[in-house]
Amino acid sequence: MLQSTATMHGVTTRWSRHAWAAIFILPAALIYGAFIFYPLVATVVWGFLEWNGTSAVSFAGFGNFRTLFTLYPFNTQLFSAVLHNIVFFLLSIIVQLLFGLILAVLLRARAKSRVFLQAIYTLPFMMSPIIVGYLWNLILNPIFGPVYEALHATGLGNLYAPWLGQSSTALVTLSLISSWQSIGLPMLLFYAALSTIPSEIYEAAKMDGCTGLQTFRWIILPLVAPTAAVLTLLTFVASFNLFDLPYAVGGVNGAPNGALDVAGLLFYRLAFTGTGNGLGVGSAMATMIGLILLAFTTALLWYRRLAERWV
Amino acid sequence: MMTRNHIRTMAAVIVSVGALVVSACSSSTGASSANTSGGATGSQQSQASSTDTPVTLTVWGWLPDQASAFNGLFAKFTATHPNIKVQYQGYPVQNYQTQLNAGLSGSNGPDIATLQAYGGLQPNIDSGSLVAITDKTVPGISAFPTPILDAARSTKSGGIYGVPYAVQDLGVFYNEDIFAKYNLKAPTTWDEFIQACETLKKAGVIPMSWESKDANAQPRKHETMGAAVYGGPSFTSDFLAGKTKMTDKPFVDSFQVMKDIMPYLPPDFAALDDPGEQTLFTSGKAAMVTGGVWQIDTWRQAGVKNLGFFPMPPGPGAASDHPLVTFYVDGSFGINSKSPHQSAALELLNWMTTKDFGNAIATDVSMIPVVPGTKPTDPLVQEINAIQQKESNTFLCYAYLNGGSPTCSDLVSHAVQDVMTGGMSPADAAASVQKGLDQWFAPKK
Repeated sequence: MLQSTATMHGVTTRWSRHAWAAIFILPAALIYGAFIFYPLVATVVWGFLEWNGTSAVSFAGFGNFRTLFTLYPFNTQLFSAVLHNIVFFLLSIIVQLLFGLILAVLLRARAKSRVFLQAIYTLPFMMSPIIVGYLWNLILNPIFGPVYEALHATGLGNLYAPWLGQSSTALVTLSLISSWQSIGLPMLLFYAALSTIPSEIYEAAKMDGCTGLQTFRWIILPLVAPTAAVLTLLTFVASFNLFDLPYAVGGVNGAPNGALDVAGLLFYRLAFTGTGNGLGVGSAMATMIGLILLAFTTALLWYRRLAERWV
Repeated sequence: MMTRNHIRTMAAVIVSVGALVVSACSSSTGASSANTSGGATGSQQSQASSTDTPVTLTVWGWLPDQASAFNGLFAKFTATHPNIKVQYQGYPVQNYQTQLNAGLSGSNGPDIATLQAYGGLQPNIDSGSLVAITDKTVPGISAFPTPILDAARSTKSGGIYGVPYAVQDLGVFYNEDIFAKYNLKAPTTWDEFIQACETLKKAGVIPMSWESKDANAQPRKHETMGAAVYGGPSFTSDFLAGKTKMTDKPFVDSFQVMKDIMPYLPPDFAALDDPGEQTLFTSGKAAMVTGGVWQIDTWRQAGVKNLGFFPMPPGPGAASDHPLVTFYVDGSFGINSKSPHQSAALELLNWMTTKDFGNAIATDVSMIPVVPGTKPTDPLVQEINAIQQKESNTFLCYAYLNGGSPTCSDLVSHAVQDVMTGGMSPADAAASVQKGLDQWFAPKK
């Protein structure tokens, strides 16, 4: 009798614990379902439907994907756009990892002004990329921009070039602007990672006769490597979701001459400026970007697990 | 063991969460049931609206800055139709179509929507979101010219789905004070135009302000510079009938003109965006700018006291021997098929074909009205529209070739940028436009 009461007690406690958990999870699950999961699934489904304006008319199979790869000029724009995303990612990750780490190391040496400098470097990160884009368009303006004026006033006028107006330099300039904006994040993350390394380890290394380079290779690098991996992942996702910055700088065609055209802009043109079946082809494009992101993140996480063994 | 208090609290939480879900669902089903009944009981509701029950119609548009002006305009309608109030809601133009598509497909759309002209409204027609209007339901439209009604016509059925309200004219605008300073007149020939540009350039003034980043502006620039070169209406009718192609000389030459004017544009114009172009013109650094009548107020307010206009003289090898003014219908007002106030909306659309509305469009929102017998109020706009009515050219891409994917505007936009900032040859640019259109456009032979 006594035993069975105890068992019942255990069951109801467990049940009540699960029920409470479910109730507390419910609001978050509803929000996640409505704003993350549903749009995600809907986009994939929409990519397989034939649209007429805003109503789906029939099942299209892989028709929208075929359109994406065969309809001129989108087929040519698709490859150059994705290539621009990749180049943008490579440039951004080099600049952000390098300068983020340098800034973090320098910050550790400045005890007094650290908080102030952290705030200053993180400030652009708080601004909308649209504002950042318009600002840099003004700053680099070839007729009345301050950079142009300053270089000419100091006799360095021939150093000036319309960086955002030349196909050869526009993408590099854009990635530098983006890195300038988001350098605060890698700096903060690297700083946090460096702070977790106890000073005893440095002292021990010093006593063992490690040079500065050896300390960096065998102590700092392995300990900040996970942070670098996370940053690589974040930068890759951000690079493939790129839309607002190139839109603000180069318009919806990614001017000049398509040099700033990225997957996000092509998606926008397909889905919202086209006609008829735009939503279907646009969703197919979005699904494809999603698959690229999924493949890369999976590969990176897998590689990271491997890398952790030897770093 | 679970106490009674626990059970009570948990029940309360479940009930309140459940209530939230149910209320969310019921509000949407409530709205949709109102919608589904809207079509069926439209006539009953309309009788109510024109007799006793006051109705408020919502009108959506892409001019949030002019919302109060539009509300003033619609107050004139309410003055004669006391039971129907009209509320204009403006959304930023960049997001408007997305917003409208969502509104029309869901349950929270407007009663009356400002619709894009020509190809732009076809998806809304095709999805069954709009009510067709005829000369029986809106008799006033029979007095509108066909090129104007084309802006609200279904390319599939030929039916009309909106009442057009205004046209926009394109051309070259200039700062009269700068022209006077260098003894220049508005050019009427290509040679006069080039001479004026040379004079200005030697004096250190940028002859023509320009930008190359705004994708929407590029086809308008091409029309302004190239309409007379490709031949305007005669080329358009030949092209639509399959008698000529974009790859033929007139259209290729229209891209050559874009190259010819490049020495007279701002240095490094490829790095300029629309605000940059406007600033150069309004600050007096540039003497001319291409644009449309809707920008006149902005330029004047920004400091161009004496603004002049000329239609671009035909460039080298032009098919037309005189300048042309390209125009397009700005948009139309159409009825959401899910609106529960069908008949009140129809009353408003009927009013939009009267001179009262045409005059209000001119005075209240400073546009060029399309109601026959009405005209704009601003003297400069009157002058431009008078030229347009004599030497008129309908915007080829926008009016006739944006109904499929890729749109002509998109192709021309890229082609202009490729020619002017990417070194593409005019022949290749024209070929690219033709190649894109060949995939869906079938001429009516």
